[in-house]
Amino acid sequence: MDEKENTLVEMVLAGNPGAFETLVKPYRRTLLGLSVRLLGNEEDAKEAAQEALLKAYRYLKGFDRNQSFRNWLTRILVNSCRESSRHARRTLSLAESASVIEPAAGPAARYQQKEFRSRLGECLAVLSERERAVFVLRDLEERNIAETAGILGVSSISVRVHLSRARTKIKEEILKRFPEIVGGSS
Amino acid sequence: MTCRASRSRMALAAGGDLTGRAKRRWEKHLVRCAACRAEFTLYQRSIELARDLARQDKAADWSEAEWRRTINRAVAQGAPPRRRTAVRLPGWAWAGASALLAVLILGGTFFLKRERGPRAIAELPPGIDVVLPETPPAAVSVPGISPSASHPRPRAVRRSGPSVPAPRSQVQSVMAMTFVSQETGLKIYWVFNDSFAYEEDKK
Repeated sequence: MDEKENTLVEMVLAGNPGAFETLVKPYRRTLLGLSVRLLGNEEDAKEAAQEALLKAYRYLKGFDRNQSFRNWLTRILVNSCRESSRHARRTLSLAESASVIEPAAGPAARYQQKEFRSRLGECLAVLSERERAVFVLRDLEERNIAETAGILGVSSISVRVHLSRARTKIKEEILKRFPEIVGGSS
Repeated sequence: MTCRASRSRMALAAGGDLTGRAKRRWEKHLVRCAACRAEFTLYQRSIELARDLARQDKAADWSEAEWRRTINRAVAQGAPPRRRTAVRLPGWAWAGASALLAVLILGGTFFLKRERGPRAIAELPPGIDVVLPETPPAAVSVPGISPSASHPRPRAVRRSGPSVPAPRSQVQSVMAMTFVSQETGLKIYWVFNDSFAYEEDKK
């Protein structure tokens, strides 16, 4: 684990809550981005990320200093997203989350972002909850299999199985939706 | 390796997650199978496309006010609840309390056993003795004839001597009945327990 993070954890545990912001600030965008991809809804994503930060602060005492803080935080976030999606059971619609784009961006940039997010959302919507988590972590966040398994709390074999299914579904979906991009190379 | 086996491994191979012997065997198949190569290319392109979309999609971010609120909420609400301060007693106090508790439990058990134990038959108030007018031989069951029809009913006779009624406060828990044969003088004792179930006299 990072020594700086270790020190910050110690400071928070010693009763300095101000150090908590310094500890989690580097993951500010990552947390929300991952949450949006997993839930597909900005409001739910923000709530889940807030819940994850709250739990991280509450259970910081139980954090194993030999482990990666980033992975620990991501694991909490994934569990929060899972709980959130189970409670809300809202359908994935990443197209609705276009309002996440920074207000400073111009109309063209906003439109382009909306398009990208919409396309990605359409592809991810065909995956099950576990398949989406595995695909997002392994292929979009580019974590390795062991890290993904650790974050999700499952075995590497389970990750491989879900990843294989997810990639097959994504391929089918992309072929169906964007045949001109992938091209009929067979 | 067959095409079917090759395609079952293709999704993992496309992301570089196939390793070892399985990877070597799969690669051998891919060299000589054009259809699998084409399928593999599709997998690779689709994963690349998804990654491109994810990269181009600018990650969502919090506004400063939202971030500040989130952190403040986490710090305010996420604090673990303070544990109540437990009463601190010295070790000898705990040991004494434990010993006292053990004595109370043992004493209570002992006294309760004494109270609930069976009373001696001699202490019981005199029960009703039934004297049979004629002592029949061993009961022989005749089919179709009930035993009460073949033998006259016993007549209840009070014992000679004044009967002393039992004090009202005492609750009779055991009842005994004695049958006396006038001819042979044979006595049969029946003892019933609380639930009026017959208990054989072992004496």
